[in-house]
Amino acid sequence: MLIERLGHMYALWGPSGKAPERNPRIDQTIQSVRRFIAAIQETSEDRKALFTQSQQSRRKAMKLAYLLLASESDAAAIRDAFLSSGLLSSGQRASKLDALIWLAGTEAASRGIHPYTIFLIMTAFFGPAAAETELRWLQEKAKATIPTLEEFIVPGDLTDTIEEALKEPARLQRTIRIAGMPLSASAFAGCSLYYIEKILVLIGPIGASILAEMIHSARQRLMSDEISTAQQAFLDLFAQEEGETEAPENQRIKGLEAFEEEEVFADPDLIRSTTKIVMLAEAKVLKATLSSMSDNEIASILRCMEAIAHERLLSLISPGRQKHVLTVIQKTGNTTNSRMLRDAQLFAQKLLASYAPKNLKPGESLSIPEEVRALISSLLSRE
Amino acid sequence: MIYWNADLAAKISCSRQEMETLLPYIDHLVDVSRTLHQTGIQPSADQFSSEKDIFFRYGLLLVSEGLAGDILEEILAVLLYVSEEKGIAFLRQCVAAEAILSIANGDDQDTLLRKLLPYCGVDRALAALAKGKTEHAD
Repeated sequence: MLIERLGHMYALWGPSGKAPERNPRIDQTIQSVRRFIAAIQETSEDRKALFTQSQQSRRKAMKLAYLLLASESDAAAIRDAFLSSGLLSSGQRASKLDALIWLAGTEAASRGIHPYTIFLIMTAFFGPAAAETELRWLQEKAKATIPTLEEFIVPGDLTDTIEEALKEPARLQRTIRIAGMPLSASAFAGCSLYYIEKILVLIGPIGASILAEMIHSARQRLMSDEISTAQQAFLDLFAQEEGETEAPENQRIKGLEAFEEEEVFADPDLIRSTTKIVMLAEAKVLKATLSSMSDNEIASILRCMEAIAHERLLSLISPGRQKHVLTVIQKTGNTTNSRMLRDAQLFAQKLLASYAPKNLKPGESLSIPEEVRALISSLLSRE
Repeated sequence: MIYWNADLAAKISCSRQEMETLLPYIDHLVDVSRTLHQTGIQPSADQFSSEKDIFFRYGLLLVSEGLAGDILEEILAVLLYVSEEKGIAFLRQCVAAEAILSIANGDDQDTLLRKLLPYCGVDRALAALAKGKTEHAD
């Protein structure tokens, strides 16, 4: 709570005194803050380099900041050190704000916060006008330092739905903010470069640079399963950020009703065959098949089977994607028998492709259950 | 718990009449929030250049950089801590800070109003919320 935090600051440090106006001394402090974040970025965990920075610093608060970081002190120890240093005492009012800037920066660095964010915390002490000037400076710096990422795709729920999500940029922006940079980065780590570039332009250059750095780091640290889990968590948040007021469950029921009503127009034999295929095929193969299909394609194939098979297919995709698919169904009008046959055959082909291992040798047969094989053959030979 | 402090209380103190002037400002904040909720933020454009309130503008710039939650609150608290404003002007900054956090969090209009109206005083907030409820029921 904001007022609680503010009250705590007043209780700890008393009134701040007159806010600093832009003068040579303040400009000098701002330059030191710029050097501080550069030093944190460059030295990383190099304690010796931080000790050197401490020795080279002339001002007490700055010297103490580098020293505490070099000694890997935690946030509580940093606060204690600044308190016992006397720099924050009321007798030294002129330097109190200066000490608070360095305390806040050092504390934030000890919490592992990104240097750009540390810079924003520290420059806030100069008031909104100076802070905005410094933010503009940081934006220019960040633009030049957005790391180059390489192509790396982890199949998962977000990888499948990111194109749809990008159609709602406001909702995606909100989800990124609510999820926070670390979770967003872990989720986007599995997305293709093409989509990552589209995501990065949704955020300002500072945020984009931080996110790109975190994506790079997530790709080095995380296993595919962990990225998939992050994708699912991000998608759950995205689903919660639904802009429409209609409850998701209502949408789901409406969607199901919409295509169940239309089943009267369908060829019963086609419906039976497709349903059997879905019920007999292995879950992991079905999941891989659905990953290769767009929301529109899934919506179309759902029209070609009985309700029992809908449940199975929908249970294999994320809740967010389920909602998208059902929305597509609601918006789509009646279909024809010939169109349904084409959709069912396309699905059967994709299912076959999912059964084929990447290293299948010529002449080697696919390991498909006999009954599924017969149903697929029958479906593909229909005209 | 809130650590009330005499200096903070003196800084935030203002008359009932002054508090009344917050309502049009809250309307403005709600309008901005509604627009951003619908259209999103265009980080490449200078979207907030027409916003004259420097505190609110800077907060929106932070939101456009993807900041929210604890870190955003920390920065806004620092801005309020060093603020030279007093009385109603300081209270306006507190309201703006609350609105910025709410926008970053993607709160809907109703939630935003429930967070901002108490800054007008409990009586005024209750009256405004009750009025909103009646209008909603109609």
